[in-house]
Amino acid sequence: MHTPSRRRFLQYAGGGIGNLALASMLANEAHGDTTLPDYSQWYDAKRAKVKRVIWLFMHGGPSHVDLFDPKPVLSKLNGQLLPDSFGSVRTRRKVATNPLLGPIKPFRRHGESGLEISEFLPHIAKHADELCVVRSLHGDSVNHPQSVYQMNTGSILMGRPSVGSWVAYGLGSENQDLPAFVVLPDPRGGLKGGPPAWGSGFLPASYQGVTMRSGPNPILHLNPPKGFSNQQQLRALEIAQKLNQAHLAKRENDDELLARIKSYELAFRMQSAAPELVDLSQESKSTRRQYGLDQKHTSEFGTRCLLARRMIERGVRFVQVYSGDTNGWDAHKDVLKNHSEYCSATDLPVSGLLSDLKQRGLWDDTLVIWGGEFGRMPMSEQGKGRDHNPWGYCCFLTGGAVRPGYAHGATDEIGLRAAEDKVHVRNLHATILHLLGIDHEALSYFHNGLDERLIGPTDDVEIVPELLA
Amino acid sequence: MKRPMESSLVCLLILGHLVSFPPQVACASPPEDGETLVVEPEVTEDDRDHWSLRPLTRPTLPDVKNTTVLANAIDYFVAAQLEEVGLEHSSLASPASLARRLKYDLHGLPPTLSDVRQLEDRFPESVSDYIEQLLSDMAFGEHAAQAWLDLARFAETDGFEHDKVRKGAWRYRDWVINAMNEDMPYDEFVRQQLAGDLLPNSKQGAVSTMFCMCGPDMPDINEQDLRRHDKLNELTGTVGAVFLGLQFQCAQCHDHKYDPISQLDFYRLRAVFESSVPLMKRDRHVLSLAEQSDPETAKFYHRGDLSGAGKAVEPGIPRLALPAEKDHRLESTRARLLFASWLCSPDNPLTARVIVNRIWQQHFGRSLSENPSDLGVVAGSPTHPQLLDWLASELVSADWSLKHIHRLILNSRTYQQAGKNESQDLAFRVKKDPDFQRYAFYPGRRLSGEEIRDSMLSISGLLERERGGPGVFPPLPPELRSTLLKNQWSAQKHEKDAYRRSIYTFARRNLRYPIFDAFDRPDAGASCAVRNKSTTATQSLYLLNSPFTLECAQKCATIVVNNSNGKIEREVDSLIELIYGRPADEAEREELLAILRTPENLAASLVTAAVALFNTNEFLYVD
Repeated sequence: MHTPSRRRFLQYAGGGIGNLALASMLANEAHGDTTLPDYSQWYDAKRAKVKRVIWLFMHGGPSHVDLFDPKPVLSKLNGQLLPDSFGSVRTRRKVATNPLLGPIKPFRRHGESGLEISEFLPHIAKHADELCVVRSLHGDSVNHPQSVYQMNTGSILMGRPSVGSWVAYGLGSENQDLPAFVVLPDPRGGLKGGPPAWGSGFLPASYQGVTMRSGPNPILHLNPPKGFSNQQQLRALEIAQKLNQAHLAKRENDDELLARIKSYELAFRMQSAAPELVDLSQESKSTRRQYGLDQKHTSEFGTRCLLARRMIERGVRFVQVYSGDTNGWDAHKDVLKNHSEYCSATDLPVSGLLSDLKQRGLWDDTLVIWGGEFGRMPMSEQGKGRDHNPWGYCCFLTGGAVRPGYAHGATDEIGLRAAEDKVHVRNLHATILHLLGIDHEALSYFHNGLDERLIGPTDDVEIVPELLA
Repeated sequence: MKRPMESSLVCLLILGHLVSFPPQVACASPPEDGETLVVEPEVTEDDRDHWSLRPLTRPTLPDVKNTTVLANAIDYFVAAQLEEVGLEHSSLASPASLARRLKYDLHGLPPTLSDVRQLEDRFPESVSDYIEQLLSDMAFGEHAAQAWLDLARFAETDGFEHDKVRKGAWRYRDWVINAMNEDMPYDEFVRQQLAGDLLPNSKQGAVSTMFCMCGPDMPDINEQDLRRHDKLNELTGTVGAVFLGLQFQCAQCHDHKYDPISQLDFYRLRAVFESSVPLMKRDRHVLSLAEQSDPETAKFYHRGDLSGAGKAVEPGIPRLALPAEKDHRLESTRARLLFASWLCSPDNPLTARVIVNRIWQQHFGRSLSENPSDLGVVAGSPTHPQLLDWLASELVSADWSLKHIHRLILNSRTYQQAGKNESQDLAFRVKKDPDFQRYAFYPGRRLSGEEIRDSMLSISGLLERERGGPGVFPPLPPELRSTLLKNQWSAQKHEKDAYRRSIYTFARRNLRYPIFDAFDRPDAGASCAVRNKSTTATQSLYLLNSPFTLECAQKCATIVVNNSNGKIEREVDSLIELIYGRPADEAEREELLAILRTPENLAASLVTAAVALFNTNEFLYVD
């Protein structure tokens, strides 16, 4: 973008400190501490199975009994009331006494593994032998925002650091020009619970998820505003950094002041790195087709999946891609209508992403997660819809580090509650950390007198070893 | 990073909990599944011997060899520890540095050249007059209130999915500003926030007790009893952290791991508030406290779960904060008023220590103890324990006047000594006091996001000084507005309102205003005692590229041109005076002149120069 000027700027701004030192300084300004956390407390490179994570977040709550959790008994009981043997059920919209609703579309076995997947997802189904489906996931709240927070931060309360922030803090950055944790929200609207879902909570702001968009302005304030030319901006930077160097020299080379000088260099590099990152013009026609960029209904989500791949290629640690506007997959009224729309918008792009990761050699050290904040009830709502169900639902993990063609655990026979080999959201988080080479019990941050952790204060949170390859 | 488990004291405590505490009070019926009885560990004399729990006494001043530059008692305590490593206070800071330091610490606004001139005249006697002038200006409260609002996890919306507006929440913000300006005695300030509705002139109570209910809330939840349970537990934890400086919220599920706070202590404290929070109704807000005619029974909750409700619990004072012989129970019918009064009674050693420590932090960027909301056993000793106690006892004897404590600190040599920019023997001082444990120089700090925004508005002549009233909505980038629900951020009806001070910006819990967010404003999810101090590229991008910076820079360019009769040199000097609040020096004048002499259009170059200065560390930091 500004190559010649860029060189000129760096001449002034050099200062003799390498990028590595910069990353550590930027990451650890809290409490005036300019050293990196001691990663060895929790990180072991030898144990790490993956280096990065792409989390495809299906906001609103996709229906597990209609996608990845076949329930023949539910088909049989279609139209009947929930048998008394299931006891009382806490629901969001008092649907416990509504008639049961059988799976909307048929399931079929796929691949050598015979993993059963619904006809809603024909493209993802082609990857059946690579998927590791968790069928016994469960959380604690029937409400969207609380469950969005829990899936993202481990707690149903507002204001805790998100998994991505913990990973950025726990592993540091691989790319000096880009943030370690990037979020690609659905451009049609915000999620229920808002930006605190990717907030850094009590961790320093440098670990917060940075939202990026496709198009010419991928990051807020990345480019000079209207009325201020690139040339002017470059001049302003040069003057500022010159004055900053003189200012620094009078203050015993204060680390914090030095870090701020470096933050301008990083900002400047991001101005070229981020547009390069979102510039898809160099992607081949076949790649674009693979992600569905050539089709109206898939191109938006496909573009963000492709961006996610470009990000992890460039060393971004943790990328979250959201599907679903404020309502998203929240199919209260009509599962068929809602899921047809959302599945057709995402099925091909997700499948394209998985194939592309394989083709580019990124498969082995990337973890891909697909799932929402909860699943949906076996009972009907308004006839053809379903209410929220946090008591038992699905997600899938994939990539080279997880057990392929495998379904873990089970819900009861109608998909109401997790029943066998139950996996709480905390166990899922512990397993994600484990795959990244992080000891889930050791990863902590000292705050208000406590060693705060993603998995919470108790020592009973285990990883799920069956999910590992 | 501290590892609490390594402390032998802590391990003993934990072991004590597990094995050796005598069963004191068997309380609360076991849960239905027949779990073991709840056993409350005793608070031992050893526990009470922790520094923050000892009775407050007034320490005598230490012996100091050289007292010539010492201004007040604060300096004696600091000098004594400086002398241990062969240091004395640093020289007096210059009038320009002090003007900047004081103006930001007391008003959150930049000094002008006339502030500097005022200090230069009769310096250093002029300093204390200047301090008085700043303390009595209404801008003091507008700045000081923010630190309290951080503690109060103040926002004007609920958070969660709908993030609905709490009508009238801004009245609490104004109440805090006024309390700071009037120098409401701290004991009164505390009583008003916890029990204002029970005091004479109880109308105010509907506003002041909003403190208790300020936290996040989910009014549309199905289980309204769970909503109330969560709010009460959150309120209890916040009261413990803010007023007592102890992390009470840890004790809602189990006895505190390190501090002698039992789970019963937690529910006794919650019982103080139980009768003033009504049963909740879906989609209805409860913004402040009011006694209920038919109150809920206060109970013990196993593991903190609503479903684990046990026996009834009587309201009581946390035992660790009372001498062994005193009864912790509070008369039920008046428990809240009694508790609020006890907080600032001579029986309580914590409250005064906690608040003077917080004020110290406002002026030095760090508190005397490690974490101002945790004076428990993990926190370790303060750097200057006697100074902390002296300040606390001074607060009590000055009838809890907070301005008195501000005044003492600001008039001390410790505060007025040179910063890094002016300390003659800086390298030596840094070597002798590497972790800045002894205050060998004034530490300096980065401005907050609120201060940066207000400064840029003030410098460019845009700042609108109207005080109080409902929150305002300055422009929000469309990319962020689209992440909100409809109508959650409407443009301002009156253009001027976009330029009000930052404290009046509408505090939406789910979306902090971008510049505040970038510069570490806490998220109002929980009480925040110390803001993080991050340095990020996002901050740099904002200051460099936001339309806000450009607008302010353009205004500055216009001001400068109007002041300078077409002389380039005068324009440069005038720009530096405007933005830095001090005369220009030769090097920077040359630097700026070089770009102004380029063939580009002159007005554009002045704008460029103004943007540059807004992005310098000199603008963003205080020495």
